[in-house]
Amino acid sequence: MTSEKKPILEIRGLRTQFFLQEGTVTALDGIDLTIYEGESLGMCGETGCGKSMTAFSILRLVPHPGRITAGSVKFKGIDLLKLSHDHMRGVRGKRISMIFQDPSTSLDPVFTIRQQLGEVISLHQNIYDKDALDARILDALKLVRIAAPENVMRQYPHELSGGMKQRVMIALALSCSPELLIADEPTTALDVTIQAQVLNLLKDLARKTGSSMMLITHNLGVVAETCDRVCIMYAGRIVEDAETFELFARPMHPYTMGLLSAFPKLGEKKEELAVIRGTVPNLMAPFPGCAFVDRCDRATELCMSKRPTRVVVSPGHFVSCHLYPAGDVKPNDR
Amino acid sequence: MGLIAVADLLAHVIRKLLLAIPVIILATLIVFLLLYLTPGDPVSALAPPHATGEQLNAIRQKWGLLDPPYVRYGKFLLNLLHGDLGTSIGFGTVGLPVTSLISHRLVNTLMLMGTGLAISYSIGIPLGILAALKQNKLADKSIMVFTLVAYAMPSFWLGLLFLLLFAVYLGWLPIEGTTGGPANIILPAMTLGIGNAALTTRMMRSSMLEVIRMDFITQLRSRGISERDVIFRHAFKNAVLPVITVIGLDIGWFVGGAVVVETVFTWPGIGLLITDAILKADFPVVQGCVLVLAFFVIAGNLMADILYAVVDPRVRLG
Amino acid sequence: MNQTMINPPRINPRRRLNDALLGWKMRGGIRQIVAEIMERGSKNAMVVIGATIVIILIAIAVLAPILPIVDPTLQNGNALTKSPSSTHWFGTDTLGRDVFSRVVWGARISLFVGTVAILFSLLIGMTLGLTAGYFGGKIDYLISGTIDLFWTFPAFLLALAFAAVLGPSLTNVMLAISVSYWASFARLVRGQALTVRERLFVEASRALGANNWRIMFTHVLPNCLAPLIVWASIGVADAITIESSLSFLGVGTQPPAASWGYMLSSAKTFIEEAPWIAVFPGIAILVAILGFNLLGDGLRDVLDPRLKGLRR
Repeated sequence: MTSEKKPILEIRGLRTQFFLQEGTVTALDGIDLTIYEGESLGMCGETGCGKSMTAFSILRLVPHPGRITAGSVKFKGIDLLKLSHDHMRGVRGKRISMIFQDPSTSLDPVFTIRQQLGEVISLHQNIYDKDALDARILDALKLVRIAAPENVMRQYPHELSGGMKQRVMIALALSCSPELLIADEPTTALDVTIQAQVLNLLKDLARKTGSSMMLITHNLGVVAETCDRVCIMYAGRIVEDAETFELFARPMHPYTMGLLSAFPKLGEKKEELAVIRGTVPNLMAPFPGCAFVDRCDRATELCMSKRPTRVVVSPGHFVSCHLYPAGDVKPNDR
Repeated sequence: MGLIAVADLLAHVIRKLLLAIPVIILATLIVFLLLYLTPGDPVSALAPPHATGEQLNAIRQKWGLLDPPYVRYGKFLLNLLHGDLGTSIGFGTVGLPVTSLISHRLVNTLMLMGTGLAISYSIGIPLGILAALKQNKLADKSIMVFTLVAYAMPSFWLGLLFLLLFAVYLGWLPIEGTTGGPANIILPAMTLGIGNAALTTRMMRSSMLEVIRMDFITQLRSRGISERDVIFRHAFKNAVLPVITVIGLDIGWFVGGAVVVETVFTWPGIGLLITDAILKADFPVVQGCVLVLAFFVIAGNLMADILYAVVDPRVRLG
Repeated sequence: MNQTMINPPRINPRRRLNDALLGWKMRGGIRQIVAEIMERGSKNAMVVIGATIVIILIAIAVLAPILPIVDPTLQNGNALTKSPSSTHWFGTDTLGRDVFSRVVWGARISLFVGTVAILFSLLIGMTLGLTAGYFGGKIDYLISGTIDLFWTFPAFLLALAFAAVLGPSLTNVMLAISVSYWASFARLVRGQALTVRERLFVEASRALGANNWRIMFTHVLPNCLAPLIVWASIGVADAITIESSLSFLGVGTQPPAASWGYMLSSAKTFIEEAPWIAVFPGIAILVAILGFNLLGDGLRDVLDPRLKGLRR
C-alpha cells in the first residue's frame, strides 16, 4: 500500500540517556519513527517506556542530566539535532507544538490567558499591535470552542475548569498553526466526559489545519478512536508499528498481544483481566537481547542474546521480534 | 483588575484587619502588665528629695499609682486613644510627653529601616536567583557560605566592624550618626541590610529552584519562548511572590535589628531611645516605645498578608 | 611442644561501634533515633563541622579554670591597651586585662546562658504544648492563641522588654530568653500531642481505659525528639545572639561576669584606641552561633528534610 504522502518527521536511531550518579539510564534506545503529513500517529506503552521522552527529544527539551546521545530527527529534511539554539526556538511553538498532560500545572498561574496567548502569538507572528493581537487571541480561543472568549481572556488559569484549561493549552499550541502537534496524554487528567470532547476537538482541528499529530497515550481506546497509525513502545524501544486497524486486527509482537488482551473491551465477557507477568526492566542495566525477554512467553535463547531487527511483516506493518526473522529486511520505509 | 477581583481583595483586607485588632489589644494589655508588675517605685524619681510619707502618697495619688489595676489599665487605654503615652520620668527629660519624644525619633528609625530593607532586597534577590540558576556550582556554594556566615554574624558586631573599617581606618564616614544626614545612614543601613540579605537570598534561591522544576516552565520553553524570558519574566514572577510577601514579616526582624544598630552608630531613632530609657529606668518611655515597636511588628505582619493577596490572585478566594 | 598460640582477634574499634549502634537501632525507641543520628550525621558535613565547633566550645568553657591562661580579671597596670602580641594574643584592654583569657572565660557565660535559657524554654514549651494537646478545647484555644502571639513576635524584642522590666542581670537575661523563645517548642509538642490524642480516641472507643496522661507522655515525646533536637540547637544559637545583643546594649549580663556581648559594648567606646577589642569577642560569638546553626541545620537535613522551610 504505497502512498504519495510525504514524511514530515523522520527519526532514526534516536538515543537519549540520563547520566546520573548511580549510573546511566537509557531512556530511548535507538528509535526509528516516521510521521507523514496529515497523519496522526499514536504512541502507546506503559508508564516509563519512553513515550514522553521521545516527544521531549524531538523538541530538544530533555531535562538535565539527560542528553540526546545518538541519532537524527529530520523535520521536513532538516535535522533538528543539528540546529542552533535560536533556530530551534523558532521551531518550537511555531512549527512543532506540544500539549502536556496535566493542564492545571502547565499554565503559568500568575499571568492571564490573554497575556500568555499574546506572548506566543506576538513572538512567532510578530504582531505587536494590541488590537490585532487581541483579535488573534480571540480567534485562537474560538478555534478551541471556548464559549465567551472575551471573558476567559481576562481570567487566570486557576479560575478555569480542567477541560477549559486543556482547551487553552490546545489554543496555545495551535495558535501559530504548527505542522506537527505532539499531544502528551492530553486527556488523562480530565473527566471521562470531557475526554471525548477534547479528543474530538483535536481530531477536527488536526484535520482542518492539515497538521500531523503525535498522540502519546497509554490508553488503547483513545488510539483506536483518533489515530491513523500506532506505535507500541517498550523499555525505550519501538516494538511494533502499523496502521491502527491492522494492529488491532493482527497484532504480531507478544507485547502488543498482551496489551490488547489486557484491555477490557465492551461486549466481551471475561472473568479476570489478563495481565502481562513481570515488570519493566531496569533501564540502567544494559541488556544485549530483546527488552521483553523476561516477560515473554515465547522467548528463546536468541531473544536473550541478540536484539531483534525491525522487519516488515505486511505492507506498512513493522515488528521487532525474533519470531519474525529478518526475511524481508526493509527496515525504514513503507 | 475586574470589579469582582477588587471586591474580593477588599473583603480579604477587611478580614485581616479585623483579626489584627484583638492582637493589638492584647499587646497593649501585655505592655501595661509588664510595667504594672515592675518592681520598684517610680515615685522616688518624681518626688523631691527628703519627701515625707504624706508627700509621697500625694504624689502617688496625683499620678494615679494608687488606683486599682483595672482602673489604671482603663486610663491607660483611654490615654492611648487620645494619643497620650504618658510623661517621661527619666533624667534629663522629666515632664516631657512621651509622644513628642517618640515622634521626633520615629522618622529616623523609619528611614533607617526603609533603607535597610531596600539594601537587603536588592542584594538578596539577585544573589538568590544567581544561586538557583547555578545550583551546586561554585557560585551557588560560595553564596550559600556567605548566607551562613552573614546570618550567624551578630548585627552589632558587623556594625562595629564597619565602624572600624570605614570610620577608623579609612576615615571616610563619621563615627557618630547624630546629624542624621545621608552619609551617616549608609553604615547602619548596610549593617541592617546585609544581615537580612542572608535570609532573603536563601528564600529566593529555594523559591526559584522550586519554580524552575514546575511543568509550566517546560511548557513555556516548548512554545519557543526565549530562555531569558522564561527565567526572568515567568519563573522570576512566580518565585518572587513568597519572598516579597515576607517583607512584612521581615519588619519584625528589622525592628529588633534597628534597636541594636542604632546603638552602635548612635543613630537618633527609637531604638536608641528605648535603650537609653531602659538604662535610665524611664518606664513611661520604655512602655511607649515597646508599644510603638509592637505596633510596627503587627502592622508588618498585616502588610505581609495583604501584600500576598494583592500579588497572588489565587490567595484572595481563600 | 605444640604451643598453639591463639591470638585473640583484633577488635576493630570502628566495627565495635557499628555493632553497638546496630544493636541500639534494633531495639527501637530513643536509642534508635540516637543511633541513626550518629550514623547519618557523621556523613553530613554540616553536622560534623557544627558538632566539632560545639564540642570545642563546650570544652573551652568547662576547662577554662584549669587552662594555663592569665586571670581575666587581673588588671595589669604595665600593659594597658596593648595591641596583640606574643604575650597577649588578643591584646589587652584599657584596664590592662588580657583579652584572650577574657574571651575564653566569656565562653563560659555565653554558653551557660544559651544552653540554660533554651533548656528552660524547652521545659516551658513542652509543658504548655502537652497541656494544650492533652486537654484540647478551650484550654487548647487559649494556649495556642498565646503561642501564635509569641511566635510571630521577634524574640529579641520580647527579651528586651522583659529584661527592661526585670533589670539587667545574668539570670534575668536567661529568664527573658526562656519566656520569649518557648513558643516554637510549644508548637512542635502541641502538634504531636494532638495527633497522638486523635489516635488515642480511636483506640479508646475499644475501651482501653488506660492512664491517658502517661500514654500521651510516652508516645508524644519520642516522636518529637528529632525536631526538638534540631530546634534546640538552632535555639541555642539564637539565645547566644539575643544574650550578646542584650549585653551589648547594657541590659544583659553585667560585670564582673564578662560575656562576649558586654566586652563588645566597652569596645565601642574605645574603638579608636583599642580596635582589637572589637574584633576578637565578635569572632568568638560568630563561631559559636555558626557552630550551633550548622549543627542544627545539618541535623535537620539528616533527620527529616521535610522540616526545611518550617523555620523562617
